[in-house]
Amino acid sequence: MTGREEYEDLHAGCREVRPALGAYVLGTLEPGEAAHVEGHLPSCPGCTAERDALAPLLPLLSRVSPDEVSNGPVQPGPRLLDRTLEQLAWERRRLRGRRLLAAAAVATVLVGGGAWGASTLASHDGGPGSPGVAATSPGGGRVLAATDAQTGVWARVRMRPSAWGTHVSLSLSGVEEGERCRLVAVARDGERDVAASWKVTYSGIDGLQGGVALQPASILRFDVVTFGGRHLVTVHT
Amino acid sequence: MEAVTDEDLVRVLYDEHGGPLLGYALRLTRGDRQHAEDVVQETLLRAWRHPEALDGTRGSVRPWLYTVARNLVIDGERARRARPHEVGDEVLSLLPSDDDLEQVIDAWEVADALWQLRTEHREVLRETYYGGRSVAEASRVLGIPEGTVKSRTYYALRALRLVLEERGFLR
Repeated sequence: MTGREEYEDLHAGCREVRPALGAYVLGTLEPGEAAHVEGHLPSCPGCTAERDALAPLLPLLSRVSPDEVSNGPVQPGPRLLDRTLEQLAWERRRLRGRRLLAAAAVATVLVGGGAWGASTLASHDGGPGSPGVAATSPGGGRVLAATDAQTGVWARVRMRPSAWGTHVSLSLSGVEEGERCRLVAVARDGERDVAASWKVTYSGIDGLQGGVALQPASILRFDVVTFGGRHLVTVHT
Repeated sequence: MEAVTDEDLVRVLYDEHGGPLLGYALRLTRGDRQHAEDVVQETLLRAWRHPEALDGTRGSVRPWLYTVARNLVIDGERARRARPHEVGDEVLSLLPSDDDLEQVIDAWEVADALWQLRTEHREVLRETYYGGRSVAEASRVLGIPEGTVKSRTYYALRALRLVLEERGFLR
């Protein structure tokens, strides 16, 4: 952009038309002046070439919103990077956990075999439920399931991280019809948060949606309890 | 070979592609910032899970990221569509097609290039082209002669062209 001196080498007609070519291409020139430019172009290869160089910008400019012109292109903040790295750390822990679970499964088969062995081991731990079985699901997130040895209630929880916390989807069987229950998320620091509540129907509970403000990594376990306070099953994360 | 940690990989991808990717996701989600950020996060994590996609030339990474982001949005819309009360068919048809992909990529780059221009250059484009004002109206709003509005528009476009050429978006 050398500025004004650039025009001085131009013919008189070009000196007038050249700086108007930008507005001409964008269509912001007054009609009379646009007609003047159009009259000049056929006889001037220099101005025509310049017009042709600027014209491809028009469709590009049309894709940008006025808001982006005023405020600049959208930029992700540090918060998004932080939570992406948080999720990365969580997934890496999960991968490690999966390897440990695989080892535990082998041990279970060696000790007692199958689900019975698993619940027996769990009751030795003092916990009311069988160890959570984790898997990744095609929809993303983490799926955990457990059956309580005493109540026989089975629960499966799918956790998906979200900007606001953790999205939870619950499936449940073995609970009497009409029972009103809550799904309670228990955080590592002891905080409790109700993720969902419902009344069990004849067809059971499948894919009940809920959520908590806790991040997935900070959730220790989910308890399913009745409104009367009876504990039905625990799913460990 | 230097050891690159998983965090480094995600940080580098975020620094290089985070802005364009978020801009793209925002266009796909029609401005839903939270949804768009979720899409960006999941896209970067998928890149981490599929390091093979990051091999090859540097230029090929972004289209891969855009494709993943686009598929995430489409899958999300399909899942919502399967639940009858959330969205109708029209939403899927509003998503950009493959043909539009290049266009959407350009949009963020063009906005970024515009932001490299000098303020007085960007200003005339904002008032005339984006603000729908004639040269005479822009001259009054900006308090500069009409001839200056015209010449600044000209130099703004030339500067924009130069920036886009340097970045390889125009030849």
